[in-house]
Amino acid sequence: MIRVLVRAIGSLLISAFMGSVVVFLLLRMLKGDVATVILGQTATRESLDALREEMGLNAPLIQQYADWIGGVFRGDMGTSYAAEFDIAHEIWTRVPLTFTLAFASLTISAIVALVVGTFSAIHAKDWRGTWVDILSQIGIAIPSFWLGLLMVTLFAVRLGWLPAGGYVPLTEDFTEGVKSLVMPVMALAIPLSAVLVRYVRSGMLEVLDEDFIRTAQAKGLTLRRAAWRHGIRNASIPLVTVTILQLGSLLAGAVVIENVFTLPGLGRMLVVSVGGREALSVQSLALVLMLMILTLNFLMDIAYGLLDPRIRDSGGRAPIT
Amino acid sequence: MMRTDKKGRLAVGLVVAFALVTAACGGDDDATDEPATTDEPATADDAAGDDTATDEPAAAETLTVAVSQEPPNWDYTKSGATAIKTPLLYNVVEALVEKQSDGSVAPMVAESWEVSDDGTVYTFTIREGKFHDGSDLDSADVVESLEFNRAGDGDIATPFDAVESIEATDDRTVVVTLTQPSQAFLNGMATISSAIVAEGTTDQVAQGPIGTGPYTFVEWKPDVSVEMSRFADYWGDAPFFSDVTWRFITDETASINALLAGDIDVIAAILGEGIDRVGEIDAEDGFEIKTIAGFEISYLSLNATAPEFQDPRIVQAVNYAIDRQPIVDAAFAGLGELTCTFVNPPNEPWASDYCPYPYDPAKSRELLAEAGMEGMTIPFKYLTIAEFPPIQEVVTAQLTDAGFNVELEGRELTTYLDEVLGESADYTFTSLSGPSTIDAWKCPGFFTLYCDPEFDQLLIDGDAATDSAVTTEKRREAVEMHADAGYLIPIVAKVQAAATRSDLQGIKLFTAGSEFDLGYLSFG
Repeated sequence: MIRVLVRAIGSLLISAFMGSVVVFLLLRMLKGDVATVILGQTATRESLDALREEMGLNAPLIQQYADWIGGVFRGDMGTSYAAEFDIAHEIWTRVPLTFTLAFASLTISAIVALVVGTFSAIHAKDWRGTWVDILSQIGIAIPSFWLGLLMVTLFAVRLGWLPAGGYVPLTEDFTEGVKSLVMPVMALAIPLSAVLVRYVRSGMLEVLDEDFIRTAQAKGLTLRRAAWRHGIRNASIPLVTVTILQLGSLLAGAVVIENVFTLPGLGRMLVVSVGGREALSVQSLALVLMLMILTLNFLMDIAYGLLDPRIRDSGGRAPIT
Repeated sequence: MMRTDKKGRLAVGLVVAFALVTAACGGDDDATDEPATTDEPATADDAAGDDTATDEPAAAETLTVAVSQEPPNWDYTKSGATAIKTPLLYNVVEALVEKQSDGSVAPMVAESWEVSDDGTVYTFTIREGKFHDGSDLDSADVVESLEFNRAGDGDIATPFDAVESIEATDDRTVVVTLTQPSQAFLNGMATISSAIVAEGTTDQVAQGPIGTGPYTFVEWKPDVSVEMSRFADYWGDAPFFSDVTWRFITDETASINALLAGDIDVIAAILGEGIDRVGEIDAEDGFEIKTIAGFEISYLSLNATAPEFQDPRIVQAVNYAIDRQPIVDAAFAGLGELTCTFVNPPNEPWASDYCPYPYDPAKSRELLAEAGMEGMTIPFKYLTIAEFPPIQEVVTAQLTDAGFNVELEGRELTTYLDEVLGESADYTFTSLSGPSTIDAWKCPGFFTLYCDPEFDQLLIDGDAATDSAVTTEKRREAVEMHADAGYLIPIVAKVQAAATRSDLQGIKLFTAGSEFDLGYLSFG
């Protein structure tokens, strides 16, 4: 177990480090830098050079990278070039919003998927199952940003129940905070639920064929009771995996949704920083996001070790489904 | 035994997996506490803290303005970006003088001024007033600010071209000496070029300047908003709104929805895809569109050094191929005044309705044939944001119709700035808009790289003339000469469309320098 742990932590750190090098280089390959952005239309060769010198952009690439990564190890991600904010602090203030978005929509979709997927598996052969099938197909097909726009038009513009965008921190005003999150969370959760429903449904259909379900039925349980009492636990295993794996794409989806609802989260920070060529901010953000996703995958590996001794013995690699 | 063991592990595994989800949720609640407390606007205290005791002249009304662009920072001496000037000018920082709707100038930081008979010495008397940090306004602040702006990059320094010296002769008097008379100087003193900040605070401008305006710059939350609040010690009339929030909403669909939903009160300017919804907003009960005279011109630019444009017949062929009205319909909802010359606002005395190359695709084709270049390829580098994609579509169709083969090169903003406006004007043909006056195109011709000493001389003579009739005549001549050259094809003198709640009154229908003046606004 310890060997597995050490190996997993090692590969996590190496991946994060290599990722940061790739992001660093990619960003330097884009045309224009932060001096171009600040000076805009009025830039001249002299003013660009002077500003680059002032900001340390003329230093050799290796030195720029070393300065940054050295700072990261000391817990200092640097200061943004133009706005001069502390990057670590800025990321930290945005984490709650993006995490609330991601985990609220994950939790909601997981629960919805479990209930609806099980229901549809039990009714796989009648019209109720077919309806769930059709609805989940539609849900998968709808892009979340479009769903977001539709909801804004209905609930904010026409009915005036919810704000059209913006974010109030939950700690500042809980009710307003929740109101500002309802639509973004729904826009992310609905398509995700539709995907997860299909996993639960097929998982459950398989489980319902198992001997222990037949045994439970033989002991007098109805199919539905057998499914809820014995099936759902077994069908949950793939759901947990898929749900956690969806986190990466959910964070990517948050980039789009944060734009639609003008939420100041990590996704918007990433978009704005790339547009503004804020190299240090982009690198730091990428590193943080990579570490988050890698850490979750790493914890999943450990969870799998607990779930299934065969995985633990074979070196800690979890099957994907 | 075996079976229960397995079951136990399974349960533990599930618990761990779900604990992950819940732990992350719980952890994030803790996280929210911290930033919320550290986010308290500390900067507000210095500025407004001790002043709140004075009696409030108006009710505590608040206003939320949406702007679609956020600047990298607030240093107006580094960048001429509209995004900086719109919230700051006349609100936080004031200029020496204020430009009125009829084009005349009124006192602002300077309560009066005198000009010597030969037009080279300006004596400004500085009013008594306070800065947002509590310090007193005097001539030393003005001198330092003007020198700071004069050393800035780009447009902000242009009005100072003829300035020889800026001196304080006593606490209240600033004397500016010019090498020759300059019409551009006094006009410039109504813009960000004469923005006055407190002495010793020029290094804070990037984070929010300390000016004398009716509003203090309270807090900038990058990517979210800027908060301003009424300055109790303002020298003039107290503004109606006690607190103003400028929200950055880059997506115009989102800002228009926020307006219609009542989350915001006004969108300062609709610039991009939202322009299609101008009619819809105007038709909506309780909302309207106000058009504000602008001073930007939307234009097409040909690189005078590009091998494609060495034959003047081809340059003319491009000019004849352009039909302005469809472009304005597609990109600006039909708003603005069509123009063939580079003058905005259209009521400048040297405006001209001269149009050397009216739309004539047959002529265009003829010229191309004459030059033996039918079907020649023109690379068209265009910006993939705001009004530029629709402009590109219409222009491409028109050029194709006239016998050109257009090769499209879409660019994201920063890449575009680097390639086209950067060090080497790396493009052949492009479309842009800008606040620049005709003076910006003096040799080396900004990014058209068009250079004609005769054109430069006309502008220099015009600026130096003491008789404004001579200025007008020379500038008009220059403007027309520039149109003849054809490397810059002006399309439309742009207007700004502000979308607002109908009961918001006092929106100024002109600007002196891209400002959105809060001082006159109120709910009626």
